[in-house]
Amino acid sequence: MNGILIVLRTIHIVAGVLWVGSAIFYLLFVEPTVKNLGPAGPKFMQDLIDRRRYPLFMNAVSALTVLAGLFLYWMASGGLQMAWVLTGPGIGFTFGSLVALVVYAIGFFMLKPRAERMGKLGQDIGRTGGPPTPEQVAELHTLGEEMTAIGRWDAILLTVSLIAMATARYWTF
Amino acid sequence: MRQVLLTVSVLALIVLVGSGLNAHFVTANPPAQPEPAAEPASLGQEYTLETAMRDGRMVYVGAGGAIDGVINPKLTAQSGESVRVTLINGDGMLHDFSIEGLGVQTPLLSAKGATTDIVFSATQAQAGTYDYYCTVSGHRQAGMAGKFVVRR
Ligand SMILES: [Cu+2]
Repeated sequence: MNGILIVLRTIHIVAGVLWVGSAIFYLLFVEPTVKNLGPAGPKFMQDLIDRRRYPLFMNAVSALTVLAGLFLYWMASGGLQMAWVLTGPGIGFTFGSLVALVVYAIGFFMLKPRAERMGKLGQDIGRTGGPPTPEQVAELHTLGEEMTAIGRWDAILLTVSLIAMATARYWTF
Repeated sequence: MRQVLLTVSVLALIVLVGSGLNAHFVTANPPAQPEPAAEPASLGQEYTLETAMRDGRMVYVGAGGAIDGVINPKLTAQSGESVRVTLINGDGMLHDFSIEGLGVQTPLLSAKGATTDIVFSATQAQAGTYDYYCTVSGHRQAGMAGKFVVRR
């Protein structure tokens, strides 16, 4: 039993570190840099999204974190026993899990489509060779603004979830 | 689709590596099945605890002897005498048995009916009252805790 738990915890924590770290890194460093780069910004984003497959990476690490977390939650809670859910750690892990699930849904349904649309726009611009049309510039701008706003909530909620998860075992009520 | 495939294959890998590691841990964990030669000549105390749900709480229930049927029974031992605690998983949930202050820790059990035991003794300097509990997050708070007394 110990072996499976060690593997699940390793996956959960390593993938979680990559997920939260990347979300915060994007918000605090990538996004402002892209803004300052001017015309090179969209090009950078296109490379990040299309060639480096940033959305795929985020999708994979968030899915791994959530899936391994569900297994761990199920095991620790004895199959969702209320006696466990209502303890301090139970409340901490349940709260952290629910917040993380909301963030996962935001990433999947709100961030991923926008990132993909941004990559597609970048491809279109690259294909024509010329400068982007005003419509393309406007759409890129809107997408960027939306992703920043959503990404900010994503990073804040993920940090809340992370703190809950990291401290849950010490919660007392 | 690709992502789903990727996720599923990684999970399959987790289970495979996990079961491999599991086998490794079982063989590499002598406390689960102590070598007869390493056992002290005479066993002072033998306690058997079975995990269970009682009145909406997770608990240990004594099995056999004076603690039979007692929820989270108080266990006692004389310093210097060896103690064997046998843990039976009675509910199919993830559990173990630990006395932090005495360095007592069994492997985790998850299958219903699985058992493990651990033999240990406390020195005179360790006389006192200790908490025994399940180390799975939240289980101690959910009720899996009792007292272990070492008499001088
Ligand atoms: Cu337990």
